Amino acid sequence: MEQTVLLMGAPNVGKSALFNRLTGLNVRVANYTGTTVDYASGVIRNGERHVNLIDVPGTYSLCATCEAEEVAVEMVCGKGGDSFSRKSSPACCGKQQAAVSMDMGQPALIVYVLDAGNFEGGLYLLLQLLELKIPLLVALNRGDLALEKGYIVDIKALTDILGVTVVPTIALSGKGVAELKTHIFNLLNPETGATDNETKSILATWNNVEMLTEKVLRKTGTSNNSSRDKWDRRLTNPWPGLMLAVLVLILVFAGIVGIGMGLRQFILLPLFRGLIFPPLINFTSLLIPAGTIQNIFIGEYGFLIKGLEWPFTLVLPYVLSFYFMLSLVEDSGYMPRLAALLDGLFKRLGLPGTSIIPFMLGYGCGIPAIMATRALGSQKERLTVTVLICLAVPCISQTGAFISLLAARSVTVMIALFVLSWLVMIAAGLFINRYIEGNRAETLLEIPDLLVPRIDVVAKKLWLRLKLYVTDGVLPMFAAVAGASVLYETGLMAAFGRAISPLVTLWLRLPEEAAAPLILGILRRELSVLPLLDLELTTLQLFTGAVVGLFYVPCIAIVATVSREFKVSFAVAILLLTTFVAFFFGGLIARLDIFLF
Amino acid sequence: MSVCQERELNSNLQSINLGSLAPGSSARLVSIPEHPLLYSLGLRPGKIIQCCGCQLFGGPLMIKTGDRQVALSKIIAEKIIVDII
Repeated sequence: MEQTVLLMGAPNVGKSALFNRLTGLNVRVANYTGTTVDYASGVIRNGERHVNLIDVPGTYSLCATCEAEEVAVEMVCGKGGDSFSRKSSPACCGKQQAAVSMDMGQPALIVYVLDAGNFEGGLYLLLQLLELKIPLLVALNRGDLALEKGYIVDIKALTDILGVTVVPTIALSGKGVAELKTHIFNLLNPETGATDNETKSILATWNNVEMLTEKVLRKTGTSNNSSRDKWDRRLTNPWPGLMLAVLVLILVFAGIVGIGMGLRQFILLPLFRGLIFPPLINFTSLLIPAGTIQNIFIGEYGFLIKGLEWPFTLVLPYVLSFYFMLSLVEDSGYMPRLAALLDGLFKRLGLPGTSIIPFMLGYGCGIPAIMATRALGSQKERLTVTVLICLAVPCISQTGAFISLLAARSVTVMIALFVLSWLVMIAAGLFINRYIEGNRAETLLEIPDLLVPRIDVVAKKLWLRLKLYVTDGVLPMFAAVAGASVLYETGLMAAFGRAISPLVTLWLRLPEEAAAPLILGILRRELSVLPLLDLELTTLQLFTGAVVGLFYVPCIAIVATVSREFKVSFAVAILLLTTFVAFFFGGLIARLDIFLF
Repeated sequence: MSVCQERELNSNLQSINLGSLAPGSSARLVSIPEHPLLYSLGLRPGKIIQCCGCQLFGGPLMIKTGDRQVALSKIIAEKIIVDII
């Protein structure tokens, strides 16, 4: 039978980084609360032996305060089933009916990540887990940070008091990971015998936490982190923190656009237009005689051309630049500071400052963003953030399309588009806050230490994004373009265009062909914009088309995610709302010329 | 109740709620309301905390306990009783 090892710990202890090092499989690594909402699992190998490792969402205790933490509690305490009944100790806070279901065997071992740099913060959960008598191994992470703060953790004392093996690690650099792996397999080896017998029972009380801290922490000197402290104060206090936050966001945006455009202009576009397309076109024209069939392959909507050009030269550069910038912000520990700074403003919309995290993720892709709302405190907050993301947060693919469509013609329109999206979000947020029942959880969040992002960790994440984009992004886009080119070349698209032409030509004042993106946009968000590139549109028409594309229905994958995370009826409501808002604003924008001329 | 009675005994200590602690000053935590996270974040009776100020627009109070930093809504802060030191 496959053995399961749980990797557990408080939030922001470097758990996900350690997970990466142990498994070689990439997951998101970031030091803000609620990162690993959707748990990741991987395999640890040691010669011929292997075990499953599950990255459990970070939690401070076994008393869950949000859905993400419930996942963690459920993984240890079970769902109240028979095989788990012996684990239903008071330590599990009586939470046996968690909302998220999971089919998993009993864990063979828990690897508990204890942050030496924030030693006391992880002890309570450790004591709770020891009470459950599941075999446990402690990875004492970030001893370097503790040293910088002026103390060391006495590993021998800790081992003696708790009766567990303690392995020092530095997950970011990979130090101690090989030793940890050896210990995991030693403990799981059935020949060396039972592993939880030596564990000493210390009641999980706060008195014991303080007793342990006192006995195990040794002061070595004074704290030596003046520059970390200085930057912490600058970034966290309202002054100059808020001004720096605006600056950071502008830099992030400039980085995304600048790096993306650079990748497109100087690398990807020359590569595809110069090296890949000419032989592709020559080869296809040799095989297929000119006509409808050839056009389907290499014509105006030819899927061999658009199906490669759009995903690889228009969208990919921005996917890379977006996740590069996002990783820097995440890994530096800036996100919780941003959440604290913006908390007061978000409160007006009935949202906590931490909802900045799903919003920022949403500018990459709506699916992880909607999953990340699980870390929010109340159902109303989850609903609000989900509606706003579906309505007015363009994913990075769509943003790439907007940049291609608008930046060359009119930067003003581009900025106007984003400003309009924020105004609509604020209005919708105020409306939902006022008319939907529910609470906003009171803000309470830990601000972790600032860290300098590791370039190899960022590079690993980008590599994962690239792989994910090719499988989950490029292939569906290619298929959608292929379907569209058939519709287009066979004249079906024009027929559909005529059917809804009053809406498109009269209300939106766009040419008939602009009906195409309205069909394609259901499949992929950026396809609600990209086909407009090849129509000869006036600037106002471009603005109209972009606004419709922005508010128009989120892609089919997001609708599926929403119905899975909430209810089908909620997904249907979102479809209706987004369509209505898109056409409403599109029509208004189309009539802006009354004011302009 | 018990907190108030203790205060009368230590009349040289001034007890206030955390929400009215001046930025920059330190205090010892006396009583903490029931909340699943407060203890875990290091806010426990007897701990020394420092108030680092408040975020704008009615944002949270920034508190330091030892090495840790916590953002705490004012509504929770007002339920926490501290002794100024």
